[in-house]
Amino acid sequence: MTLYSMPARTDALTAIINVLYHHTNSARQEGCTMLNALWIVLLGMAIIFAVLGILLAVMVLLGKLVRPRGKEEKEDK
Amino acid sequence: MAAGEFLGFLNLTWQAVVMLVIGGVLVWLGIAKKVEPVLLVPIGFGCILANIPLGGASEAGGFLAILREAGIHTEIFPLLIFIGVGAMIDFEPFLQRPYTILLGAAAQFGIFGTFFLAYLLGDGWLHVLDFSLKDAASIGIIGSADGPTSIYVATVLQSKYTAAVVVAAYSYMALVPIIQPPIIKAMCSKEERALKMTSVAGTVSQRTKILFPIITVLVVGLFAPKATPLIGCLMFGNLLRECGVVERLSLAAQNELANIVTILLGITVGGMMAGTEFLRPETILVFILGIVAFSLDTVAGVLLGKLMCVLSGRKVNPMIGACGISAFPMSSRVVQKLGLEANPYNHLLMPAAGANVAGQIASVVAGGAMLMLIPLFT
Repeated sequence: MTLYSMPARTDALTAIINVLYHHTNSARQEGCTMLNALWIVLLGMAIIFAVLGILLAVMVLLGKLVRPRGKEEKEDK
Repeated sequence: MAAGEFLGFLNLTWQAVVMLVIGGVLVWLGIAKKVEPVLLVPIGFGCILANIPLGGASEAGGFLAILREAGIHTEIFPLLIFIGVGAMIDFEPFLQRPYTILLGAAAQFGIFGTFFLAYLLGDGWLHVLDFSLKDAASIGIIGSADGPTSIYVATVLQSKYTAAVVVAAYSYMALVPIIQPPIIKAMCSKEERALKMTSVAGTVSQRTKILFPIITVLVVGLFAPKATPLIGCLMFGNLLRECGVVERLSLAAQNELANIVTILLGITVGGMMAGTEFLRPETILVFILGIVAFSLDTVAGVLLGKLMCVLSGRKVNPMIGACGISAFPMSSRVVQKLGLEANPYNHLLMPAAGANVAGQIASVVAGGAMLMLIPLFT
């Protein structure tokens, strides 16, 4: 016997179950959306550190490859 | 013809009155208190214009509405401003200490932390306020501490709170000297604040300065393509400055272009502050979340600063982490002042400026990351 084929006196119980089901389902969905939000936070920070980490590596490499010329160093002194 | 149809004061609503007062306060803050006058005077005046009943300045066909369509909805104003900003910024302090870019990265946590909090309060869970995923992202971007990035991201995401986000982003930048010091003092002992940083020997070659904007555009654009318009305009402006052969263009970007767009952007943003749309509980919460964003930025930056301090054998003053927030140059000045308070011989301006301009790049990347991720989860 399925829930929906129960006698009429079980309507109240059915209604409660329906409410609980929808509440739980919506809570599950909301939990899911908050999980998505958490993913956005984690992925966002990961993207920032990854992109800027690559930029840092390239700039450090560039700093080693491209030294100031003698004239520029003299100007600095 | 009834008098109410042509006399503005007969059509005044309480919302219009409140907004006229707010507009007046913004203009007063700019003129009398010198708080970000370049921004607050146009914004305040635009707010006054938008709230004069029957004035029609911000209604369809009005000049503020036309400016909004042409400059904000098309995202042109923030991009043009970035050309000027790029031409004004000297990235040498950052190029002398490239590691400061990691402080900039850490200090973007305020964007994502605030996004999470806003979404939790809104459609994500509690449903206290009408914050969708896109609205939450737009609110979070206040933490970029960067007006053009905030406008760009909020506009692209078509948030209902664009006006509030922009006003919060610009006004909190002026409040950095009030928001940051108590947090920094709470997190760093006097001994840590007094820590001196050695000056960097040598200079950055001109070739490096010229290559830097090109490399940055390539790296950021290839890995976070949604950030390309913002980083592209910022670095184009910087290339004009550093290449040394287009001085006229560089000066035009720093002065004429930046000034004209600032006037138009300011008055247009003010024009978006119509009382009926602006005076909502959500707007107040947007402003509160803006403070949260700036505070989280500062906390995250200082925490990484402390880690760097330990790893470097106390060669890095942890306070410079707070400059990873891109509110340039206010944040650097705050750290310089706190350093001098703790030790009169402690000059932190240059390393702080390095972290500060690194934060400018990081905030653009954060905006691009947000624009990449939100559509994936919507």
